[in-house]
Amino acid sequence: MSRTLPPGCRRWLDAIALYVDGDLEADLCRALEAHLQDCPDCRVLVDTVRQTVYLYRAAAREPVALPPDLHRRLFARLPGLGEEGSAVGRTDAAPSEAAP
Amino acid sequence: MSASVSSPSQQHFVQAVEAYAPRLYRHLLYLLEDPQDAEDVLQEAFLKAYRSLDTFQGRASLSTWLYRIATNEALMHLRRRRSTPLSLEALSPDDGPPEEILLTHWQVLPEQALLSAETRQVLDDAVARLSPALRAVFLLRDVEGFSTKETAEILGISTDAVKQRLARARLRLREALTRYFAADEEARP
Ligand SMILES: [Zn+2]
Repeated sequence: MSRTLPPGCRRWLDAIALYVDGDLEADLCRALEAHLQDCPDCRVLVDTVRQTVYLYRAAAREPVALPPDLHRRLFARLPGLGEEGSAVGRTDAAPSEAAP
Repeated sequence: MSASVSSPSQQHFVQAVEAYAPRLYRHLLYLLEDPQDAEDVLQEAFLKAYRSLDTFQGRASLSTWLYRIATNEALMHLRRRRSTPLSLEALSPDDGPPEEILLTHWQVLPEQALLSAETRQVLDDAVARLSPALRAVFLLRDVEGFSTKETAEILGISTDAVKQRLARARLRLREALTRYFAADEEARP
């Protein structure tokens, strides 16, 4: 059976979740750090929350694939931008210049 | 007024669309979980932003402004799509900390396995299980990288509410990921 957090530590949960990127008031931060000195369970939580945030931030740096032609459909709906504007904004009005 | 693409604000707008469309699309895809909805809402948001260019004029940063319009459009879209009312104002009882907090160290994965397709799916599924109120805050803070103050501005809620929701979201995601990355086999489902 895997271990779970003792009920007495639950009051630290929100603070631990915010501690990992310093979004915690100074007083609360000091109190939490004092608790962490004595509590290996909450230290596991700090570590795994930190890894959670790290993973999502790493994933967010991956390039995003836009659906094909989204820019063209977008600019086509914007008055005054559909038929002119940037190269990606060109519509079917200029098929000769569209990519094959 | 006839719209001319050569006006500076319009040129600025075209550049903004090109710069922000990929990130905004990803944000909307996470919020709405449907590619067609994400594109529709992205188009609506840009259209709305384009029509209110005059009112923008640098009051907020351009990215905060665009995310506010897009996020609000997405939440309206979610409200229309759901039969149950969707509240951004109050947290539901389901948004509390997880009942059970597993204390298991994670296995150490090689760097390339961290962002394998399988891992990405686990990350995405965990986000999809968050309520919209928690999800919107988590995406803006930890995926899009906005500050607590910017996130509060985008969503029109207090910074304390942002912090509380961010904490709850991170704890729920940690719980889901711990079940996947547990070093100890017993902790896995
Ligand atoms: Zn503790």
